[in-house]
Parts: sequence; C-alpha cells; structure tokens
Amino acid sequence: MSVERFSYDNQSPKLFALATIFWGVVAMLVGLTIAIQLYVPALNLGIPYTTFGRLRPLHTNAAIFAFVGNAIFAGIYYSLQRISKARMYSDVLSKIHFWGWQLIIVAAAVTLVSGITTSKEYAELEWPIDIAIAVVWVVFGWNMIGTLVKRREKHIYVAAWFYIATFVTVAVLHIGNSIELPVSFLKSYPVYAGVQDALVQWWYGHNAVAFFLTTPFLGLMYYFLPKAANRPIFSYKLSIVHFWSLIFIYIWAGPHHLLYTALPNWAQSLGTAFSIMLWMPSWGGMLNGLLTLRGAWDKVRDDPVLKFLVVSITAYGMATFEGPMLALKNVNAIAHYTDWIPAHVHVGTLGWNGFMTFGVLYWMIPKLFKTKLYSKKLATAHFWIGTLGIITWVIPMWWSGITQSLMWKEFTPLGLLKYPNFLETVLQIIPMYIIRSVGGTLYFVGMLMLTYNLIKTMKLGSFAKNEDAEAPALVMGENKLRRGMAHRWLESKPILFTVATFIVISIGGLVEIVPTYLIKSNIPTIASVKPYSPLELQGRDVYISEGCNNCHSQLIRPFRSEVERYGEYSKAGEFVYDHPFLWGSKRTGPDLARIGGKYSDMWHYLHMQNPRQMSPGSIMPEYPWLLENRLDVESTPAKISVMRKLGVPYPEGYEGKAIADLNKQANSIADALLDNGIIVEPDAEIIALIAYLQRLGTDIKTKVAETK
Amino acid sequence: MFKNILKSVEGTDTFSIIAMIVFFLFFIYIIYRTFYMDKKVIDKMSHLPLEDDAEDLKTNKE
Ligand code: HEC
Repeated sequence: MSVERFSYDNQSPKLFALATIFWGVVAMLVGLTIAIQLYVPALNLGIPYTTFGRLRPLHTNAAIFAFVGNAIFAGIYYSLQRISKARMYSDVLSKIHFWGWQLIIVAAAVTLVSGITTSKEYAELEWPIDIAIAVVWVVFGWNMIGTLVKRREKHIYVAAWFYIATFVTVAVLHIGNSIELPVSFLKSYPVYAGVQDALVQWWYGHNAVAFFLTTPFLGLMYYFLPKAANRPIFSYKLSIVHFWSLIFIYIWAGPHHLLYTALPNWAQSLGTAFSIMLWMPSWGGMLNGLLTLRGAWDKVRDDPVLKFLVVSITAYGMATFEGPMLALKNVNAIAHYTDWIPAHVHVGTLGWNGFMTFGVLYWMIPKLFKTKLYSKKLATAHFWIGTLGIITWVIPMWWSGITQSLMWKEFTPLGLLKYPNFLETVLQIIPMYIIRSVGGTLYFVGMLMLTYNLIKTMKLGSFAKNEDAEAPALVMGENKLRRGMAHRWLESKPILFTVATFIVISIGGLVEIVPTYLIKSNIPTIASVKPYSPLELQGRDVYISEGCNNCHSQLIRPFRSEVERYGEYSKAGEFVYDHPFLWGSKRTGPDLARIGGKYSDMWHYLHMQNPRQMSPGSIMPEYPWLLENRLDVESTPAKISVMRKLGVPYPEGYEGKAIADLNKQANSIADALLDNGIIVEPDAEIIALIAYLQRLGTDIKTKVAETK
Repeated sequence: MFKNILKSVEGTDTFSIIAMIVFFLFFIYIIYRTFYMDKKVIDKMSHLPLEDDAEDLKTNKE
C-alpha cells in the first residue's frame, strides 16, 4: 500500500478563527448597545446610523453570519481535511472564500447602518451583496466537495454530511428568498408580496436557523466532541438517523413563525405538526452528544473545553424543546411578538452556538499553534461568567415576555382593556431590560477573556501554515477492474450525496410554497384594496430604511384583545401589493397595521421629531432628521415601473404622472401642517412617512364605512 | 392526523400526501439500512476522528 505525503492547510482555519473572535466582539458589542437603547433611548444618539432600527439588523447579521459563520468555516476547514485525510481542494478557493466572506460582512455593516435594507429578517442585504454571497457560498461548496472527492479515507464521516447539507440548503434558501427586482444599484423589491412573501421569508428564516445555526454545529459537535473527550461518539447509527430525520423534518416547519396570521390555515397546521415532530431528532442528537461523555464526567470537571461543549449541547436540547412548544398554537398566542422569542433565540445563539464556538476555539487554537492553552483557569472563569450571563439574559426575557403578553390580553370586568395604553405595558418591563443588559455584559466580558487568553496562547506557540501528514492512498479491492468502478463510485459519492440532500430538502420546501403560488384562492382579494400612491410608496421605503419593522408589527391577530386594541384583524387580501411584506416579528412598540387615521398628521410629526413629546416615557428613538432630509423624488417612476412588473396594477404610463401626483399629495399634507403652525418642506421625508402611516389599514376601514 | 390537516387544502392535498408518503418510505429505508449496517464499518467510522494525526496521539497519551 503506498503511503502518500501531503500537508494540511492550517492557515485557513486560523484566519477564520481570528475573524470569529474579531466579529464576535463586534456583534456582542452592538447587541449590548441595542439592549441598553431599550431603556436609554438617548443612546440612539439622535443620528440615523445608530438608531435601534438599524443596529438591530446589524447585530443579528453580525452574530449569525460574521461570528457564527466564521466559526463554522474555521471548524469545517480544520475538521474536513482531517476526516478526509486530504488538504483542502484548492488554496486559491480557500483564500477567495475567506476574503470574500469578510468583504461581504464589511459591505453588510456599511449598508445596514446607512439604511440600505430589504427589511426581511436575516436577509436584509441588498441585491448586489446577495449576489456576492451566492458566489462566495458556491466557492465554499466547491472547495468542500472537491476535498471530499479527492479524499484518502474511504468513508465519509457523519460530520461531513452535516456540512454538505448546510451548503446545499443554505444555497437554496438564500437564492429562493432573494429573488428581487432591482430598482437601482442599492434598492430592490422582492418578487413576492404579502402572504407569499411572508411564507417564503419564514421558510428561509426558519431554515436559516436550521441550516446555518444547527446543522453545521452538529457537524462540529460530531467531530470536536469525540476529539476533546478522546472517545468515539456514543452511537454512530443514531447519528445517521439523526441526520436524515433532521434535514427532512426541519424544512417543513417554517410556517410556525406565522401562526394566527393571515397565512392560510393548512400551512399553519403543517408548520405546527412538523415542529412537534422535530423535537425527536433534535433530542436524539443531544443525547448522542451527552452520552458520548458517559463515564467520563470526571474529565468534564477539569477540562473547560468539555464544559463549554456540555453546556452548549444542553442548551441545544433546551432550545429544541422550547421550539416545538412555541409552535403550539395556544403557547404561540402568548409568546409571539414578545420578549419570549429573543429569549428562546438566545438560548440557541449564546448557549448552543456561542459555547460550542468557544469550546472549539479553546481546543483548536492550541492545536494549530502546537502549544497548550495559556490559562485553563481563565477559560474556566470564562465558562462560569458566560453561563451566568446566559441565565441573566434569558430568565428576565422569559419573565418580561409573559408579563407583557398577559397585560396586553387583560380585560376589566366591564370588558374593556385593562391596559389600553401600550406604553404602560412597556414601562412595566423596563427593569427586565436592565437586568438583561447585565447578562449581556457578563457574556461580553467572557468574550474579552477568551480573546486575551487565545492571543496569549498564540504568542506562546509557533504556527506553521502547513502541517505535514501522511496517509495511505485510497485503494479498493484487488481486482483492477472492480477497483476502477468502486473508485468512481466513491469519488462520485459526495456529489450524489449532495444531490440527495437537495432533493430531500426541496420536497418540504415545495409542499409549503407551491400551493400559495398555484392557487389564487388561497389569498382572497379584496376589491377596496388599492395600490399605494407614489408618496405612500416612498414613505413605505422610508419606514423600511429606518427599520421601524424591527419594533412594530403590522399584523393584527384574530384575538379579542388585539381587535379591541388595534381594530379589525388583518386579512390576507390586504397585503397583495406589499413588496415586501412588513408584518414584523416583535412588538416593542404597538402594532401599526391600522394606524391610519388614528392620529392627526401633526401628532405624527411631533411624535417622530421626539416620541417623548407625545408619549412621555416612550422608548422609541427620535427621528429628527426625517424632518430635514429630502426625499429622492426622482426615484419614483423607476419604483412604479418595477412595481407594475411585479403585478401591482398601476396603469400603463403612470410613471409619467407619478411625480406630479406625489407633489400634489405632499403639498396638501405640508399645507395642512402649516395651518397648525408647523413649517415643513413638502419634499421632506417626514411627509412621505406620514402619508404612508395615515394610509395603513384604511382600505378595509373605508369598506366598512361604505357598506354601512 | 395529517390527512385531516392536509384535507383543508383544496387541490393540494394529493400533492402533499404523496410527498409525505415518499418521506416516510425514505425514512423507513434509512432506518432499515442503518440498522443492518456492518458493525465493523460502524466501528471504523466512529473512530475516524480519533485517528487523525500523530500529534494527537501524543497529547492524548499524556
Ligand atoms: C425601539 C423600538 C421602536 C422603533 C425602532 C420605532 N418605534 Fe415607534 N413606537 C415604539 C414604542 C415603544 C411606541 C409606544 C410609545 C409611543 O407612543 O411612543 C411607539 C409608538 C409608535 C407610534 C404610535 C402608535 C400608537 O398606536 O400609538 C407610531 C405611529 C410609531 N411608533 C411609528 C414608528 C415609525 C414610523 C418608526 C420608524 C421610523 C418607529 N415607530 C420606530 C417603539 C419603536
């Protein structure tokens, strides 16, 4: 048997690991900032770039795609080479992947704070960046599958299956959810509208959790846990069943993000059913991880790496138990729109992703630098402060979520809302926000400890870009002919596997999405619902740009408490011209679906200038620049034309008249404000925003008025 | 249970039910295959990450 000499590429895992640490610090710092903004609105600084609505997407994107993303790549580039007994397929691709990904992150940060966003959660980036992501992602997949094809190990270890599933599914999700028509270089509208857009978005959003935050980390778990514990995984068979059941079931569960919304009932039920089924494979994976350590708990006691991994896997178990529970309609009725959801998410990100990442880094960096960890004590201290941080983060948010939800739903004996003023329910939970930010601070301090510890470790050791290795060449059987065939089959296995995964995840996706496409009757149209006027359309884009949807929902659920508070519940047919949909997922402020006509234009003007003028104690940021900034009126015809292409029934040639119509409506609003003593230019952004807000939900109100 | 859930979808029920059946058949097949997998292969596979490189063997022995 011929032994081949080759070398592992240690440079790529090192670079990705450094990027993980760097972006981790950034993501957590931004997270901490927005957590504090919720009780110190002044921290929004009164300028556009640092308001909550813009920083919140920056935080989520940085945490998911920069911190966790780089951690995934670091772990994959390290483990894949070793389970394949081969160097990464191409050094050039590795470089393009690394630098391309960092460039995308920087572009994301710059555009998001500048208010360039699609508004779709975890897919906020505009189309040129979307294309760049697709390209870099394909480079990553190519590099990975290429490595597997030229591997020297006959079998493909289960970790690699999870990596491939990650690659395939994220590619499909990203492309599926980013189909948009450009209006200009940095502005686009999604081809889907309303209910359909929501369904596609949450098919994406849910599966981004599944295939960006879960499957790659399960792959890492199946590699790094056996490594760190120095014993094989508890049951390899279980890991196979785990894999297939997980990727099969996950993809169907997306609609549980849209329970009680205007989404058709069947899709909601499907989402719930599959979410409950999901509980089993998730716990199968967790138990497989924890049972690997059976009889080795003494090791856990003095190894910080194992400590991090154990808590990480436990957090995975907790989050995947809570998830299906939240998908039950009656639990969801309480939890949706509240702080319970961020609490659920942070068990996942801080616990599962964060702690797994820390464990892997503490294990891998000393290996890469051929040394020992600088301080085991410090790492253990990090473990404890991090754990305390998670607890202090999550518990107050559970508490505040439930408290606020119950307050929203409480009626007096006379049948009136007990807390008709939304703000009152916000003020009640401010103490919880304060405690939560203490939790975040603890977690962040832990991150700084890790940074210091690992920098010290790197200084201590010596790093070589290439690590020599040797392995027997991949040979099968004695018979030459048979060997040739077997070889081909094995080489093509990763590709076949990729195709199989693709088919599996497509079935679920198609069942979910195709019906809403084919059957128009799923979305009953309402005759009185008309396209937005040009000014309203522009105002809607201001709303998107400022990220108001990060605090305000636009979807009234069919509950007595919501109908009482906000008005008639939302109908699917009301959103047919909404490219994109703006239902939101969190009510830090009240629902705005029927805000139109509730207040005067002047109220909105003064409220946007400084919310505390109208609502003392409000935690909404102030938007004084909207009173000054000029609307880009010239962009109107292009927007109208793209909307028409997407099926919004603006008459042919309306582009030519749109600006005149816009000016007319703007002038009338500005004149009315002037009557109240407010001097404002008609082309100020605030005018468009007011026009939009005053329009919201009125289509149906008009109808009711007409029939009366 | 699923039939009831899916029944509410006019025109899409056959589509969904077929998909669901395909899913279950495939799943049973996977479980069957996994159950009868060669024990030696399983053993070899599960030890795969542990036999990386000489470097590990050294540190592990400490
Ligand atoms: C940090 C979260 C947050 C952001 C971001 C935010 N708001 Fe608010 N908003 C609130 C809160 C809390 C209230 C309730 C207290 C009040 O009236 O100010 C509120 C109230 C409102 C109201 C009055 C609703 C009612 O029924 O009384 C409107 C209108 C409004 N916001 C519009 C906007 C717009 C437009 C934007 C984006 C430019 C925005 N908000 C951004 C938190 C936010």
